[in-house]
Amino acid sequence: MKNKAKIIISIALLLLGLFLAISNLYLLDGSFSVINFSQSRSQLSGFEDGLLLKGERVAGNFTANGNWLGGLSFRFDNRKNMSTDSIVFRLNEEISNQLIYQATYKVDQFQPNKLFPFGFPIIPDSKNKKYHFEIESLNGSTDNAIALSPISPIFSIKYQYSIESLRSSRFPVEFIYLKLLSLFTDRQFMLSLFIFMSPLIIFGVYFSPLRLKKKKLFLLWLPIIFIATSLFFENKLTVFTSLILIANWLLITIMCKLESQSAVLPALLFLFLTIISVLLNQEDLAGKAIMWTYLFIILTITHSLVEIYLKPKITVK
Amino acid sequence: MKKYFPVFFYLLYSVIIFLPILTSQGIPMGGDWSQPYGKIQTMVHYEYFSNAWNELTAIGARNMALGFFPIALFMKILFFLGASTITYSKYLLPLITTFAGCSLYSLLRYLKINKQVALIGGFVYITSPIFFNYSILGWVYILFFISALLPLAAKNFLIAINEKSTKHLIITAIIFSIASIQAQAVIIFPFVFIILGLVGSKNFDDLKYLIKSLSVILLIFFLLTAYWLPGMLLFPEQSVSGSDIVGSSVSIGTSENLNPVNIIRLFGSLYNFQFETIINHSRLLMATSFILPLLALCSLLVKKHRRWVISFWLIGLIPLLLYFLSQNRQLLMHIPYANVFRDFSRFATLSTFSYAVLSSIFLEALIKKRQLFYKFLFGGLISIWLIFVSPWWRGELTNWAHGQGRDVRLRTFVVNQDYLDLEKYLASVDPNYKALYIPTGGYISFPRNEKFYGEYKEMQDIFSQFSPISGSITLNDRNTEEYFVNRLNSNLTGDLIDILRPVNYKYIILRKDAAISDKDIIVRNLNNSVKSGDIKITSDNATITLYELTSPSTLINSPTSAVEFSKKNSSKYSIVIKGANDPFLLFFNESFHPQWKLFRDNKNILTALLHSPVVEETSHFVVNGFANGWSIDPATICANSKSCKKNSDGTYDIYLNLEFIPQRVLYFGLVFSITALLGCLWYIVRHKRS
Repeated sequence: MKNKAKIIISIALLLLGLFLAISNLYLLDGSFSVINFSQSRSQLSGFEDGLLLKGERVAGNFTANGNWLGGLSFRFDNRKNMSTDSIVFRLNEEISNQLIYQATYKVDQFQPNKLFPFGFPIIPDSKNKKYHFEIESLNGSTDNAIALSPISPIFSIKYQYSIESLRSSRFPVEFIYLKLLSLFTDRQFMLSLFIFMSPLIIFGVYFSPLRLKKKKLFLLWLPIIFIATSLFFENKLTVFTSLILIANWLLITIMCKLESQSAVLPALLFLFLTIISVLLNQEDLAGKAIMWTYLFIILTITHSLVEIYLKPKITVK
Repeated sequence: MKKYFPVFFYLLYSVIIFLPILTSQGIPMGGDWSQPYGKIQTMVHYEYFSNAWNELTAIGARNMALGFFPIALFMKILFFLGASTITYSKYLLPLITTFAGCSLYSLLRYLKINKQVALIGGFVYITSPIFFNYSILGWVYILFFISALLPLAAKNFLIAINEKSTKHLIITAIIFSIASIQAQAVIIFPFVFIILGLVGSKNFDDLKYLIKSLSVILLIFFLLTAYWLPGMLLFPEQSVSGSDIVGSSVSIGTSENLNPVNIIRLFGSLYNFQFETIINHSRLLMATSFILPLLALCSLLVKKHRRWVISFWLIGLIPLLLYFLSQNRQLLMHIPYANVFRDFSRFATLSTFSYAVLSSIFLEALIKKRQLFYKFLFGGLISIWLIFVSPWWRGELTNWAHGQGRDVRLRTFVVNQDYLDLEKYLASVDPNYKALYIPTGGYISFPRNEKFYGEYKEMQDIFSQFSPISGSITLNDRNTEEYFVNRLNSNLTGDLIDILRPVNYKYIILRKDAAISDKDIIVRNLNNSVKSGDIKITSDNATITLYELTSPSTLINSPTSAVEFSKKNSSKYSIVIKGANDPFLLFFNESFHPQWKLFRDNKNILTALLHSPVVEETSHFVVNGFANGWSIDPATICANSKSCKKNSDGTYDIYLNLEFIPQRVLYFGLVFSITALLGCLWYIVRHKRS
């Protein structure tokens, strides 16, 4: 392949990766004008790993990075929707101690280990102001309560820029700065960017000056590493992510002219990962790993069918 | 003689595994299913499966299990030949297990798998979780009709396709038709045929032959199943032809354990989770539970049997496909007859079947390698598999004392003589009445019998279900008797007699040795009714009290005219209405069904078939909230009719037949089925000779 073509393909793959990463973000956040900042659990006071019992509170302070503060999201473990407790969410401005918002929520509406958004009227001039929030259980008991999820990020702060504000001269620069800052400090986004750039990486390895044997070995393992990364670190696997990971394998199968049986290797690896996860009671991981096992079995079968029916027959005279 | 070695091995294994059952007293009692016990129950069982109307339940219902008729007939014949029902029930499981092992062995041999590995393959199949769990539940016929017959059907189909053998095509169709007695087979077998046929086709001509073969199989299948299939299609019943119960708690509950991690290791085929519970007790066993998927997966590395590997993997992936479908059950709501295959977990039969074949293919590839490493690997894998199947060889199948909660085990039940004496008495009285069996519900639990006491440890109530005086009260999501059953169940502690009196309930049977909720209140109420003269005690011993209503209603009656009737079978009654003059009402106390029709009495069967009902559709209505009622005008039906006799006082004696029409379809169908079967057998024998 000529250098010019390589450069064009590389740029195309780079743009595709960026496009998919941003689309993926849109798919997860639902809007481009929303900026999310993930927060660490060290910012919470009164947080313990146990249940939130009646009268107990989880509280914390934060300083708004930008204007248009529009919500706080928390990740709860509501015992698979079994808990029927109610909680009160309160937001105060720290200096004036003025109550900005208070509402009661039934906890059975929380999705297990998913961020639940506590919305409140948008605060247009929130930048650099200090806020205090607290979540209090109303009826939590040892057999009917919720807990904060152990999964990070445990909570996030949301800024909701309106279209009108972005049209004004003041906010667009601030918005772009905050958006980029939030993206590059968001582990999930960086991970998805890494996965969406995987075709580019594979392409790079394929045209690298490595020896063919080494190259093949590299290329065989790269998609498996990408999938493993997504299994272990990504908790927001979307259709895009899955498709790109499958596309990687197909790409390598075509480029390296792999036989159908090559897909058995990743299938076996993910089966072993399932076994280990089951033994360690990691049900979520086992569930995800087994789906990849099935997927590689299906890829092997499909490829085998192609080999059987479409490969030119060798005739012996 | 060598040819029969596998049979000997599988039989020996089965006898050893089921030895505790074979050597213990009593009848094997599955978790939710059992065979009839003794002569009387066998006769009732036969009566049930040979009639389109099932009168054994509280107020009767359409019988949708007519496919089972040949088995009921076979049992009846066996009984007449001197076999005891206990022996039959005890030996059925080991025989079916042996047959299933042989069936898979024979398929593997056809696929040119080496003898030793084929033998192991058969063992892999019959030691799978599905065989363990279904044996405990007593689902012997599902094991036979699906698991045991599937490899045999697949083998014959492959021979038919590969060798273009019509004889084997016919054999395949016969096996498929027998298997279809279990409803899921109607879906499972064609899936297997289509996949094997499509992947096996090498060119367009093969494909054409495949289509032709499938058409022949279907045609023979329709002919052989003519005794039950047309009845279902011509007179569809919502509980079967509909799709309304695919979302019921029962349907969803059966797939509770069906998830991808379980599907791959052949777990989750039941709501009951016995094999799985034993395995999940230990991490070592849990790790070994992936041995079969591992072997099956490795078969994809084998180059020799490429097409078979792909075919069997495709078959093995069907449960996963159905798992995804079960996540979107609302799609099924739009598919007719979805009620038949709503229980997705049972399709684990397919992956069990395919894994046994795939594992054998891989093991054979391994054994053919000469290097010592592969020999060790083979030995290691077999050892892991042996650990995995330890619930079998550790005797957990029958270790009822270990079973907790849902994890029940296979047990035997020794029937109390009092129950048999009562059965004898009930067989001697007028059969046109019903009996209320307390406790109700279709299951019975005995506080003094540890094996059968406690949640999930109850046994099937064979005494009420196969009683000569029927009246079993059960309610499930297919039940059509909801109105009456709910009313009865909610009034067990209230005034029962008021509910029973309008119906033809004559007996109340109180099983005192069984667990009964609110027993004291029920007994007190019954005693009060005795005092008031509504009921009387006919017999009373330590186990059972038999009460009799002093003035029960009859099965067929009229508020204004005298009615005499005689029962031909559950689907046909001869009725004489004496001295009818003005229009009158006729009541039939079985649950309402539009296919119950009144005809003129006609001794000539052929001309009787040509007659249309004497009462218009519009005059047939629901009475008492559940029963059949007709409004009959003697002037209309007696005009120029030989079935009416005019009395000297100007009134009429009217001679009618009450018939459930699907029974006619059963008779016609039987003629077709027997003719088709004889034709098929004739072809097979003739072909063998030639």
